[in-house]
Amino acid sequence: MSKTATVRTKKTVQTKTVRTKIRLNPAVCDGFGFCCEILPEVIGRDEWGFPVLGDGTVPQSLRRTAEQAVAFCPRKALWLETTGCLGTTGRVERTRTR
Amino acid sequence: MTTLEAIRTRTARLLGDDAGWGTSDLGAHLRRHGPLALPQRFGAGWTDRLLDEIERSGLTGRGGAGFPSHRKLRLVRSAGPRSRPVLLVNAMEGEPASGKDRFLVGSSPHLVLDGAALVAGVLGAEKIVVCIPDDRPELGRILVGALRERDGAGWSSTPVGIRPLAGRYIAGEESALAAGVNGRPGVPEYRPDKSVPVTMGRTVTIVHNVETLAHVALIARHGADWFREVGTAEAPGTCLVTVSGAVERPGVVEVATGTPIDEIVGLAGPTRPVQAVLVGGYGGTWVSGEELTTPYGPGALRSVGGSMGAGVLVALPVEACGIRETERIARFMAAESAGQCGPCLFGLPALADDLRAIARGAGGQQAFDRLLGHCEAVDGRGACRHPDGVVRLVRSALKVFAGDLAGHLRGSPCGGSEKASLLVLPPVGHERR
Repeated sequence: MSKTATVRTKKTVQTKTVRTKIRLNPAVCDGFGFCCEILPEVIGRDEWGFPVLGDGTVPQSLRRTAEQAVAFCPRKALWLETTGCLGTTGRVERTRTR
Repeated sequence: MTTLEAIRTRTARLLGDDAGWGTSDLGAHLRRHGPLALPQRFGAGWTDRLLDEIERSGLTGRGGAGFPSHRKLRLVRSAGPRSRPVLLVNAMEGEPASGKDRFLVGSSPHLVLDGAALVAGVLGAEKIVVCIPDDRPELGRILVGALRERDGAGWSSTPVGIRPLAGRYIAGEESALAAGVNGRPGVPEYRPDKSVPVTMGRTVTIVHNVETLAHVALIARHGADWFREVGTAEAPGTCLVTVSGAVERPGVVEVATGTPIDEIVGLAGPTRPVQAVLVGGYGGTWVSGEELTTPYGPGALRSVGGSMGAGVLVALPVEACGIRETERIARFMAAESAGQCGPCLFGLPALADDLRAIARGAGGQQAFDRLLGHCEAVDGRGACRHPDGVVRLVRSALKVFAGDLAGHLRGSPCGGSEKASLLVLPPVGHERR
């Protein structure tokens, strides 16, 4: 199972805007297609069965599902990229989770 | 392209008047270009000065991507002092229609080795590895001879190795080259951020094309202002171009960047009217007969959808079928795919099949729509740019050969589709070995 992406926050920080994108290494992907079935809202499928990610933006509501799609990839070809902008500091953090 | 000759031009800097295979020994090289004499010219901190000089010269990479050379050097320098980098000298030249790199190595090995030594000096490189295709042992012999001469003259500072690698289309791609040198299969790696230097284990590598290095050797001798005397502002200097197709003297020509395409093809003596020219390489662009006055430089080529690529021009005669020739290239490129990414592995043969159906006049509008769909499905979905290049070529063919295309779609193919190809189409990678 994957570890959850964490956004490091200072104690005082309350507001945060987090953007999550799902990413794919096409050289590793073998087109099992689990991700397309788990996360069809974001991941399409081409005529050969390989996932089509577009720009890969994952809506917050599908965040957990996206983590499952990453976890279920037999080739471990997927990951989530999180860009978080913390309200008070304005600090941008990128975390990559497997 | 078995026989190669230099076509003489007035702008020759890299290629001498007597350029030809095996004509360059160290003595002749020094008589022609003079000594390097770096400390005398630039003082003690010559590596920084040379880097500034390269930046001022505006030199761009001549391997295909056209990336500014000084930026590449600075990126590797700023990658940190974790370990000393390794300079990979790229003479793989996987483009079947290109011969300029092996011509340069064969005729001016010392100029290439000068440039490699200079870049290695700028980067404090641990070693230089010259990568040559394993089916061209003659390049290895010439380089070994040249290195022996340099050793004898006491010129060796950075160790230089020669590494024959399995020669296939994609083997020269930066990350594929590094993998090959590292003893792994020479296939590209997925690199979303191309500005991060390629590494071999923990070692940072820098890949430079042989022509780029030869230009560095001349910039070090004559300076940036001299370099910029000819060529366009965006990509100054001269460039080597391999001209083939319907020409009397297929070969390597050195011209100032920005020379009109038809003028360059003219130097090789077109045998009959030219319908279009393939520009850049097999992942390049067709440029139509009406646009052949376009200067061979980055800006002007961009306006017709192309780039200088690997310095390839193939003249397509008026009687040939552009659709059929594009299909042949797509077929070759499909076979040269590393087969790592689904869209490339399945998409490139699909593109070739669609083009075949259209060329036969059998597919009609359906085949055309399928082709457009496949272009969309393949574009930008590989780990490297190999599939993107094929899509670019196919899309340019649809535009440039629109007239022919209409006939093919109506079911009346042009007479050219059954003619033999003028293209260089070597047996694909796995059959070569």
